[in-house]
Amino acid sequence: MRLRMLGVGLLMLCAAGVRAAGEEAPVWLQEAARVSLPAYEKDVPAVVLKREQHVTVSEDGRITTTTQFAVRVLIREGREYAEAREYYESDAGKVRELHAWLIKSSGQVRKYGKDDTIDSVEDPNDVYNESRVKLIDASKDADAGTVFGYQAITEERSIFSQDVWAFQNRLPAIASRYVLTLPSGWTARTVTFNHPKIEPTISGSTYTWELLNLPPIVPEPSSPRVSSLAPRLAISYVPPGDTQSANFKTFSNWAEVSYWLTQLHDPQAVPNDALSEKVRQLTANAKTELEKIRAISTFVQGIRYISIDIGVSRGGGMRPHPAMEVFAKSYGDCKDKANLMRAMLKVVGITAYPVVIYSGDADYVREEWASPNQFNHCIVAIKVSDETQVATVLTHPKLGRLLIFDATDDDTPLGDLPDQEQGSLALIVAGDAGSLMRMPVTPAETNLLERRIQANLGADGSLTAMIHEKAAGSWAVGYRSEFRHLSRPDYQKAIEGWITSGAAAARVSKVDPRDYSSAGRFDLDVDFTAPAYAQLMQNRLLVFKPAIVSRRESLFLTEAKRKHPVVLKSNAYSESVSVKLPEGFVVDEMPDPIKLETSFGTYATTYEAKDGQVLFTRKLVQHAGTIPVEQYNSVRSFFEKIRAAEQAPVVLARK
Amino acid sequence: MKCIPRSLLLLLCALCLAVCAFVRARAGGDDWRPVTPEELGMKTPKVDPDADAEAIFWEVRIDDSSAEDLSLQHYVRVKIFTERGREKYSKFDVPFTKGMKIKDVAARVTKPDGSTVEIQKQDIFEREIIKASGLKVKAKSFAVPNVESGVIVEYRYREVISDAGASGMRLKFQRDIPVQNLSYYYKPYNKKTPNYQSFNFDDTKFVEDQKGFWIATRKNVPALKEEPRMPPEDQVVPWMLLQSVRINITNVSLGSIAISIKDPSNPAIYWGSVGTEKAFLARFMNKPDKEIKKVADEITATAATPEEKLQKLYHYCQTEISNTTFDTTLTDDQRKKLPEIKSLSDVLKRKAASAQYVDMLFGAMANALGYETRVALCGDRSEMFFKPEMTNESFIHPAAIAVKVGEDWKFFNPGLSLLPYGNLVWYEEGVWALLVGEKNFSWMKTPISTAEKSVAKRTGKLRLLDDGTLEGEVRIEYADQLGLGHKLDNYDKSASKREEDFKAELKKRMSTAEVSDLVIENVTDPNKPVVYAFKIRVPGYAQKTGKRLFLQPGLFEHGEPAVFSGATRKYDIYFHYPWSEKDHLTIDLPAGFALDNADSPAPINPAMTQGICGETIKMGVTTDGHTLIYDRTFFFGGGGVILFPARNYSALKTLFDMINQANDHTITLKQTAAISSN
Repeated sequence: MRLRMLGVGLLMLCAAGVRAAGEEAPVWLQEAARVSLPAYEKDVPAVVLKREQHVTVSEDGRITTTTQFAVRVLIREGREYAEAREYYESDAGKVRELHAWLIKSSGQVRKYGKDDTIDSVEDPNDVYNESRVKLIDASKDADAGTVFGYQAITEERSIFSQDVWAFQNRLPAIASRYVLTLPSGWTARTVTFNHPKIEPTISGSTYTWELLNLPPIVPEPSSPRVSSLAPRLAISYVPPGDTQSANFKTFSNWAEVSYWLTQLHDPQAVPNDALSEKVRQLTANAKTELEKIRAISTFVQGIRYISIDIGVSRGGGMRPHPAMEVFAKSYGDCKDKANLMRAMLKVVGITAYPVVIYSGDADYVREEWASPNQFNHCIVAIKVSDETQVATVLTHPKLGRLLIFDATDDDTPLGDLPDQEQGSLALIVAGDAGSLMRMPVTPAETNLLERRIQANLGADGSLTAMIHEKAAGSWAVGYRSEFRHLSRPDYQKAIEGWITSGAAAARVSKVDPRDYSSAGRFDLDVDFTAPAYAQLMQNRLLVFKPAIVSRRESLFLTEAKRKHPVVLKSNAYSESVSVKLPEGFVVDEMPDPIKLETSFGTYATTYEAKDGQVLFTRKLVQHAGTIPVEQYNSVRSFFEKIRAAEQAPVVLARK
Repeated sequence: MKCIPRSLLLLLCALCLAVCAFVRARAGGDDWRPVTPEELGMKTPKVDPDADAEAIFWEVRIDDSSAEDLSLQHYVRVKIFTERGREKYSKFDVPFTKGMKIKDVAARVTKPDGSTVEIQKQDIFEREIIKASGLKVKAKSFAVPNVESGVIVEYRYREVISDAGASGMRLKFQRDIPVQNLSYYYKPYNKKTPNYQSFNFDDTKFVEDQKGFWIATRKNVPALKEEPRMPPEDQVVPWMLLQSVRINITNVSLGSIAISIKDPSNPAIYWGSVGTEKAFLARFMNKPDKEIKKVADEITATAATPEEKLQKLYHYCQTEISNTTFDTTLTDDQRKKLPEIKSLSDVLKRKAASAQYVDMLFGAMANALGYETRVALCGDRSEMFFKPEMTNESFIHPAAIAVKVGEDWKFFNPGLSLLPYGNLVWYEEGVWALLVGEKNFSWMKTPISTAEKSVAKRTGKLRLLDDGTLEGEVRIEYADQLGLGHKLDNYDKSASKREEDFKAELKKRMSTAEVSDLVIENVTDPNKPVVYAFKIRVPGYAQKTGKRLFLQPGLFEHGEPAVFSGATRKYDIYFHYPWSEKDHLTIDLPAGFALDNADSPAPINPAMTQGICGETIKMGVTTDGHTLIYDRTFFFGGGGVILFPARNYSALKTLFDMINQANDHTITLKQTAAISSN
C-alpha cells in the first residue's frame, strides 16, 4: 500500500513540477531544482544550485542588486543553509524585496514573505551601528531533499565603484555568477583571486562572470581560511575614458587609496591641551624613543574597545572619531585607537600613520586590486629611528623604518603583532607616499616557551613537581589572554585541568602567574603533587613519562589524506625536566632520543641518567609557512613522531 | 488581582539575560546617592578577594501598587577592580519591547579622587534590535566613559510595564558579581502583605519599610560560579517567587458555579485546587469509549498478566501511532497545521498524534481494561528538585500516565517514542509527581532506575602489533538511561552526522584513532540498546621502549580526563542517574613479546563506598600466553544516591581519582630472547 502511494506521489510530482496548492516557485528556482547533481561525500550538508548577484549601476550613484540563491539540502544537518540573509546600511540603503520559497521532496512549495522576515542589527554588540540584516529562516521547515531559494532586491548608494564577489563558501556550487550592468559606455575591470582569471561574457553594457560545478571546501585542521580558497572576483567600474565619476570613488592604484584614506584620517588626529598634557605625564620618565612609544601604546591599548559607527555608507565606517573625543570618553574602535595613538605620538614629535589591514586571514589582501574594500581593521605604523630595534619594524621605501603596532589587541604588546596579521599585506596610509606593504613575521625564536620542571619521584610512584615557564611572543600572548580574560577561580581551574590531563589526580598547590606585558613576556610557576604518577609494577618496576605535562598547543593531523595546504605559525618550545629518582631504583630503560629536521621545523629529545636523576629535554622549532598539500605526509609524520616521542616512558628497576 | 501575562514573563526573562546590568532611579528622586569615602578608597573587594568587580549595592524597587502598570526601578553601584571588571561594566544594553517603557536612564563614573563623569543624553542610543511579524525589541544602549580599575560605576533606570503585576516574578538574590547589599523593595497591590516563597535560603524575609514598600536584603552575597556536575541553577541560587492567592472558576453549570482557591501559603489547599483544575485531563483520558475499549481488548487478547497487558498497550502506542512530536520529517509549520484532537478515539482513527495524546491514549486503553489511571504531573530534576511544599504549578508538568497495578502505581510515558517500557527519562525519575484523577489526587515519588539497568556493555577483539599499534573490532551497547541519552542526541541527525560525531568524540580521547566500518544501530528503537560496532586502529597506542611494550588494556577509558580536577568545591555534586559499565576485551599479543606482568589494579569494593560505587578489573592470559583477557565491571549511584554534599567533595574526588588510576592501569610486555635474536 505504501509503495503504491509513493508511486502516485511521484507521478503527481512529475506532472505538477514543483507546484503545490496555492503556491508556486518562480521559474528560475524550478529550473535550479531540476539540476542533476554530481556525487558528493556523504557528509556534505548541502549544495548551492544557484548563486547569482545582478548588480545594476546608475550614473547617479544608485546601485540595485538582485540576488537569486538556491540550495538543495543533502542531509539533515544542511537545514541551516535554508536561510535568506540580506545586509543593508539603514542610512543609505534598503532591502526593497525579499521573498523565499521552500520546495519539499514531495513537490509542495511554501512561500515566505514579509511576515516571515526578521529585520535585525548586524552586530548586537555595537553600541550603535547602521548595518542591518533582513533574514528569512526556513531551516525548521527544511530537511534532506528540500530545495530552498530566495530572491532579494536591494538598493543602496555606495561611495565606491568597486565590489567583491565570492563564488562560493564551503558548500559546493553548481552555478555561481556575478552579473554587472553598467551605464552606457562604462567599463569594468576585474581581478580573480584563488582561481585562474575568469573572463566575462559581455552583452551591451552587461558583464557576466560565471563558474560552474565548484567542489566543496572541506574544513581541515590548520588549513588556509576559506576566504583564501574560494574563488573571488574583485570588480572596479569606471565611466567612459577612465574618468572619475562624480558619484563614485574608484581607485587605480594603492597611492590613490592611501590619499583618500589620509583625507579621512588626518583631520581627526589633532591633539588638544588635555591630550597633550596626558602625553607629557605618560612620557615624563621615558628616556628613549621606544620608551615613549611604549608608554603611549600601553595607554591606548588600555582604552576600551567600543564601536559606534554612524554614516557608514558615506565613509563613516572608515573615518575615526576625533582623537580628543576618544581621549575624553576613553573608548573607541580600532581606527579610533590608531588615530588617538597618532595624535599622542605627534605631541612628542613622533610621526605615525594609520595602517589598514584585514584581520582574520593573512592571505586575504591582494596587491592586484587597489581598494579600501579589502580591509576590515586599522592598526598603526610608527616612524622610528635606528635606535629602536624590535621584531615588528619594517622598512618602507619612502617613509623609512616603521614600527607596526595593533592598539586594539590589548594582549599583544608593542614589538609584537597578532598572529593573524603577521605576513599580511596592509596599506600604510600616508598620502601619496602610502603603499601596500607586507607586515612583519616574528621569527620562531621570539615566540618561545621555555619550561623547566624539577620533580621528585617517590618509590610509591608519587610525584612532586615544580614547573617554571617563561613565555615570550605569541606564547606570552596566549598565556596573557587566558590570564586576563578568565576570572581568577576559572584561571585556577584551567591550570588544574592542564596539570591533571598529564598527571592524573594531581593536586595543585601553587599557581603563580606574572605578566611582564611591556617586555612581551609571561611567567608562570605551578607546583603540584600527583599521588600515583608512576606505576609500580610487580613491586620491582616503576614506569613514568618524563614529558609530564602537555605543551598546551599541539597539532593533530590524523586524516590520511588532505585537500588543502597546512598553515603553520611561527613558534618554538623548549623544555628541560629533571626527575630525582627514588632511593633503591635505577634506570632500566630509557627511550631513544629523536632528532627531526625538516624545512618547516625541527624537533629533538634527549634523555640522560645522572646523579640519581633522569634528565629529559625536548625542543621544537616551528617556522611560519604554508606547506603544500603534496608535502602533507611529511608534516603529518613530523607531528606524529613528536606525539609518539612524548608518550615514551622511562622504566626504573628496583636494585 | 494582577499578574504578568505568561508571554510577557518569558520575554522579560529573555530580556533580563540580555541586559548587562540593571539600574534604577532612586525612589522619590533622580539624584545620585553620595559616594562615601570608604567606597572611594576601597582597594580590594570585600566579599570575594578574587572579584573583578563588586556591587556596593544592587537595588530593585518593585512598585505593584498601581492597578495598571508595574514599575521596576533599578539602581546599581559597582566598584571596578580589574580589567575584566572594566570590560563588563563599560557598555550597556537595556532591551525593551511593546508595552514596556524605559525611563530615566542615567549612568556615571566616580573616579578615586571623587570627580564624576556622567553620560550625556546624546550618548544614549535607542536601537531597534530586532523586528519580526509584529514583535519589536528595542534597546537603550550606551557606553560608559572613563571606566578603569578603581572607579565606581553607577547605573539607574526605570522600567514601566503596562497591564502587568508582580505575581510570578522571580527575585534572584545572587548575581554574576559579588554584591555587598542586594535589596528588593516591594510595594504589593492593594497594600497587601508580600506573598512569596523562598528557595535555597531562609535567612531573608520581606520586612516593612517606608511609603508602603517592603524590603528584603542579603548582605555580602558571593557571585554564582559554575562548577562541573553541579545541581541546576534554580537549586543553588537563592531566589524568591512573588505570588498571590487566586480564585479560579473551574466549572459553570446551570444554577452553580464551581471555584477553586489557589493559596500558595497552604500546600494542601493549593495542590487540591490544582488537582481539581487539572482533573479535566483525567476526565478527557478516561472518558468511556467503545472503540478504545475494543482496540485495547484486541491488543491484550493474548496477554495473561497485567504486566503483559500494559506492555502490549505500550508497544501499540509506540509502534502503531505515529508520534508527530518525534517525527523528524514533519516541520514545525506542519505540526501546527495538524488536525485538532477532540477525543482520544480521534488518535485511534488517525493513527497519529503528538506525544501528550499518545500518553493519553495509553492511559485511556489501560483504563478501558479496568485499571485505575491518572495523569502524572512531575517535577523536573534538570530544573530543580521539586517538593510538594513548593506551591507553584509551573514546577510540575504532565510527564507520564500513572496506572495502578495491584496496590502500586506505575508510570508510563510511551509518548516519548524513544523510551523503553517501564522507564522514565532521567529528569522525571526520583521526583515528586501529582497523580491527578477525575475526582481525587495524590502525591507519589517516581522510581529511579538502577545502575545495573543503565549499563554500557563494551567488548573488543583486538590485536596489539609490535610497534604499539592496537587494532581490531569493537562493539559498544548503551542501555536504559545511557541509551536514551544517545538516542535523544542522535535521533534527528543524519547517518553521516552520527558517524562524524562519534568519531570526533573518540578522537578527543585517542587523537590517532582510525575508525572504519562503523555501524550505529537502534537509534530510534525504544526497546533495544544503542549499538556502535566498528573497526579501530590506534597507532602508538602502547608505548614501546627498547625491550618492552607498555599497554593500557582499558581501551574504553583510555584518555578520559579526570572527572574532578578542582581542588575545592562550593556546590553539591550531582550525577543525573546511576549507571554501570561492563567491559570485556581480548587482546592478541604480538609475536616475540611475553607478558612481563599483568597484575590487576586493586578493586574498589562497594563496602568501601557504602554501596554507592564499585569497580573490579580482572586480567589474565590464555593458556598459550598469546591473548590477554581484560574484564572490568563498574557501577556508580548504588541505592539511587546521586547527590552529594559539597563537604564530601574531597572524598568523592579521591574516589574518582582512584577509579581513574585503576582504569589507566598499564601492563608490561617484554621482548623475548628468541625475537630479539632474529
